[in-house]
Amino acid sequence: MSNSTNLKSKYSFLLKFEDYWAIWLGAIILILSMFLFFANPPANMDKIIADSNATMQAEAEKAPFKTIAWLEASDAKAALKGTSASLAKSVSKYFTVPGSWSSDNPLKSFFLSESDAKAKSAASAEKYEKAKVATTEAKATAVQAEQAASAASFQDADLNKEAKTKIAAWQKAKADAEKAKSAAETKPYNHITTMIPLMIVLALLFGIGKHFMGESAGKFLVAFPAVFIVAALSFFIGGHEFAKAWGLEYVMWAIILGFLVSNTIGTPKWIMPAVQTEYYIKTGLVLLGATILINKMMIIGIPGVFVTWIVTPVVLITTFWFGQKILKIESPTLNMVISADMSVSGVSAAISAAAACRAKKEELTLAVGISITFTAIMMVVMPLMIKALGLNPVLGGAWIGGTVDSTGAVVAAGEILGPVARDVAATIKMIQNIMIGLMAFCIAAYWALKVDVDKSKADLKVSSAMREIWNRFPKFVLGFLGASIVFTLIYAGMGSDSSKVLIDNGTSSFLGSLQKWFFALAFASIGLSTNFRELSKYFKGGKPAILYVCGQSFNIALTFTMAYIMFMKVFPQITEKLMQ
Amino acid sequence: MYALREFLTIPRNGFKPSKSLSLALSLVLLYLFVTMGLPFLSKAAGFSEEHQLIIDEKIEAGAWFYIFVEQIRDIEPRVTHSLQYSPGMEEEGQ
Repeated sequence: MSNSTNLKSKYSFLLKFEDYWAIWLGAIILILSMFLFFANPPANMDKIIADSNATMQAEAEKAPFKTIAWLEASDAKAALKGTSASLAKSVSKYFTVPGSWSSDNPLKSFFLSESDAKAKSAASAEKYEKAKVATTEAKATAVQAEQAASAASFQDADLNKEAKTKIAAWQKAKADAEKAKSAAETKPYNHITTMIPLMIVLALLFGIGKHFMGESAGKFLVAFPAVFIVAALSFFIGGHEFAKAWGLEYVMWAIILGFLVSNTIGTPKWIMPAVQTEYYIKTGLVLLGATILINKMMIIGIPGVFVTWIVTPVVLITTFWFGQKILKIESPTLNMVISADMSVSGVSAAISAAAACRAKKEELTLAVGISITFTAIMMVVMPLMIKALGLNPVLGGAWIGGTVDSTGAVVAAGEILGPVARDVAATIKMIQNIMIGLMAFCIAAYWALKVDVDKSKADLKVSSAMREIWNRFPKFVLGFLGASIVFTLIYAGMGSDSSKVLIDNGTSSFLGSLQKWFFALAFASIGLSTNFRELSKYFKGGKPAILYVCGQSFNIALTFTMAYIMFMKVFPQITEKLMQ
Repeated sequence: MYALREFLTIPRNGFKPSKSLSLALSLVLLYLFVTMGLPFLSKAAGFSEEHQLIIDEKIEAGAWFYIFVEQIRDIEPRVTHSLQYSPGMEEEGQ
């Protein structure tokens, strides 16, 4: 009896602190998501993958270009998605966020009636029919061209070239038809009916943690809907087509909406129990860990690793040093959050760095604000500059991927530049995103060992010093890192094809929607608890903006140099392949 | 926003707008900024063409992590195929 009591009191801290609760909640959600997707794969998944691979292998040996059969087999594999299994579909719909809208119809973000959906479908039906006919014709032409090339045993370069051109035209027609299809098959929706149950479930989930942490779960449950509404409204505003085009997503609007409340009427006291920035952020970050898959690092080969994993740490450390020694920024945490935000990958890195070094919420807000502002400009200016300079699209893409902050902005900038640049840019950014986990761990360790050290205890014994470091280390970072390692191992164990279906198009997609809600709640909480005057203090002398500009200028120069050396001089054969 | 609040709370002939009115007005201004201001700024900055492309391609340009960007799901296998599994690449290169 006394043993069990001792054990209970010894481990009771695991239920009393926010960091541990972030890990427990994250773990529960991750286990549920694994059950949801791994136990319910799409029908005939293994058979379709095996058949497709066999066809692709045979076609690859037969022809020196991607044949029609190769592409159809590849499409059959790509169509397999964990999220399209019926149970996954039924659950995932509850995590949907308010969608896109244009100025003429704001309601569309939340609701589309059956009659409006029918009208929209009818308006697009003719276009879809035309696109289908065009696809059939393009395919017939492609089949003819491929047969001609095949008759010459794929030895005639002109016939091969002709076949490749016709197949590319068929692919383009098919892509257009797919776009037309989604408009022609518009379905009605009502996000309000899915958001209310989600709000209740999230309130209970976080409320249980609050109860064990010794706070009033009742007060939390009463307050939570108010924060949830601010989060939902941030998705609504961020869903406007031009807000998206400018790269102004829900993160910024959640802060602004919260600001408006806290700086006008003042956030009512009864809402404050649910204003829990760190609780939401830490839980969101544990989930984020499960989507950071380390084995994707080599996707573009060694040049990608050099452009991201060499340049990024150099820029991060240099910018932090510059902020401390040259600009003499008073707050090292602000310096670190801006440096990480600018050098790694914008908001995601800022959130992780801020949580790892325990930065103040105002510092995170400032870093995110600066990043969003510069990203909105760089996203359009960088591709225009690359076009004007006439750079190789692979080099241009790598440059964009390594320097523009957010992944969405990178894809958008790449799209402006062209398909090859877009694919390279997005891939480079994806590899850079993988650094977030390691970066957060290193920052947390550096802070515990160097910055946040109690000088009076410097002469402690090693064991006491280690305990001190452990006490200061943000524990949720272990959950974040653990989730990343576990999912990376599962990904490697499953094999890339099944992992693509069940993780990339399954758990990651599912967790992504839930994370968006967690981060919207976190940023709404930041806005609701921030005083504008307090925030302006951190912008003293414009040093944060100067730090960002100087760091980004260095990043731009170093990334270009490394991308040029890697893609144009050392590995030109990779560039050549990517161009095809 | 601070300026807006200060402006709204200056007494004018005994009229002092309430804090709730400040909030309501701020929200209306925010809505107008998004629905009218952003399209206008897009034109004024000379970004119309680029922004229209982003809208047409349905790119979530503000999405900050790669799993939030729909396009990444197609891009990743495409790049993998180009580099590792493009039929006949070796023969063509030779």
